[in-house]
Amino acid sequence: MKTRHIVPVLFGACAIALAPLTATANTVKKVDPKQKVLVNATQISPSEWSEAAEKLISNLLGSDVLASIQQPPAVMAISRIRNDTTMQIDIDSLTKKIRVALNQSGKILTTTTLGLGGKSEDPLAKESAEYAQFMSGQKQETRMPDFTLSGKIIESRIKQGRETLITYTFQLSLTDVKSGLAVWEAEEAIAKTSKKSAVGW
Amino acid sequence: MKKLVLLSALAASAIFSGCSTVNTIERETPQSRPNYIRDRRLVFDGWLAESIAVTDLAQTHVSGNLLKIDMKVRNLHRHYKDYRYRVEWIGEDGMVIPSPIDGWKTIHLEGREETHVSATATSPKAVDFIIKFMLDHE
Repeated sequence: MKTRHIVPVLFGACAIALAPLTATANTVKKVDPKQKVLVNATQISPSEWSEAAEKLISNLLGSDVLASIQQPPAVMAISRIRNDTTMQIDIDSLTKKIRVALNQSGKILTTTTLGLGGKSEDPLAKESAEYAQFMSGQKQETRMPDFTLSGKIIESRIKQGRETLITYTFQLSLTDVKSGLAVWEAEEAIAKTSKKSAVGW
Repeated sequence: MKKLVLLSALAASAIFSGCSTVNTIERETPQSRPNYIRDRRLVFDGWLAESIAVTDLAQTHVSGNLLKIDMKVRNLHRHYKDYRYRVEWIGEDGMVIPSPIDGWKTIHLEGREETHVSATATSPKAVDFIIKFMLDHE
């Protein structure tokens, strides 16, 4: 074979060899997380977290609790929010949205140096306050929480034939620390159905 | 002939089985006095505009200074439809105020069902809003 024929033959061979790779390559594109709605039976999707948070936040902002705060902003600490589902979930997916909304409203701020069981969300801020107190010899004034946020996420699955109804219920309580009373409570549910294919593969 | 009638009945039941409309009962003279506001609409999807009716847009303030809006939406079809909507909040300077909850939300409406949709701004800086509607194709 002449040398001038080798190049096109090599090109052709490479093209044939790489064709399956291009056919199976994944396509990746960026999407707006606030727009894309994908749901499945085993996870709570970002849109579902948003939906639950939106309903809970609207409920809280619409209640009289925030209007009755004498000297805003009040301070809130995050207490125990129990995950009673079968999934490993990050509770912050829900609480962060509520915290951001309350922060934006200017009515309630969240403390990051005081947490459940003495654990702080921001250990450096806590240590810095302690260090400043040690160096200055003056007691630092850390604001204690006026409210605490607690709750539970529950999962229920009901099967009927090939269809399963999956419901995630989000229950939250805002407790006034002084009185120990839950001044606001809300419950929101997200439900979806999952259908098994009639064919087993 | 009997077969034809039976087939027609089966076809009709198949067509109308997906239709479920909603009847409502309410007080003849409502006691509520909502603060209705006038709106301006930009329609790019004529089919959607004829599919869902948005009326009685009202506003109030909650928690002292947070803008809350409420509107009536009605599915004009005889069968259920899923719609998506999103509310953007605008500040005094005309800029959008980002909110942790301003994503698209889904509403499921049965045939001819009317419901209220409301949204609350998370920032006291919000003075205006834009409501967007679309069909849920997902």
